[in-house]
Amino acid sequence: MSYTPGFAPDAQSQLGALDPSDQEVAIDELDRLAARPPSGDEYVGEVVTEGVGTRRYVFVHVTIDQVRSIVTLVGVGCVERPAGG
Amino acid sequence: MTAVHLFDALATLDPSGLLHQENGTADGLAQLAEKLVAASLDEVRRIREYEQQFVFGAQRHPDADLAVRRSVWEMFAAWTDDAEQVLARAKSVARTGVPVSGADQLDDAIGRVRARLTVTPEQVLAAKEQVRQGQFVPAKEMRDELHARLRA
Repeated sequence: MSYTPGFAPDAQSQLGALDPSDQEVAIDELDRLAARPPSGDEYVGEVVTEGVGTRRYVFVHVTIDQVRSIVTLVGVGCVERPAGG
Repeated sequence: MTAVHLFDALATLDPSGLLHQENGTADGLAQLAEKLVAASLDEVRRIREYEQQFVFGAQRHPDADLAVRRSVWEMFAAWTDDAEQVLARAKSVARTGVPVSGADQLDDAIGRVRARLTVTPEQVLAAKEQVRQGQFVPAKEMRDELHARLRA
């Protein structure tokens, strides 16, 4: 059963500070988690994307309301590292 | 003295980056680097387990919750510093042409942890409090806004 995905206002601001492509990755990951909700109350997901000579790491921290069927983003961030060091 | 210092001491003895053992094999430093990498990966796995077991889902007073979350966040931060040191040694060995098993995984693990360190426990708890108060922005709204900005 899918849950409703959304953002805490503070996480919305964090998302807005990311590059648009990273924002899209984070929202996709949130949607993915809402489609297949993890068990428990909190979950941290990470997505790695490859760029030209770089690797980008997007992380999302969500809370899961198992009663109301809601997955809410409470933290999101991103860093870039050279691919293969 | 940490094992990284042992590595440095041994590397100083053989600046070529390879330790020649009695049997003629030339991979002593690589073996040590692999052990350091494996230990570092084990450590971050353990920290993630601590987080899962002792942070997520626990019902605590907000001050206690923050203290516990911050302790784990600081464990991740300290691990990242140490892991970068280990990775640098592994790369120094790899540059001599001897691959170090697990180095790519360690590089990846550092990236993942560095990403999460961009958000502090204080920020997470503030956002959780907003959720508790019913403040909620639907994801669809965010995606629509993003697409509108990209089109503009």
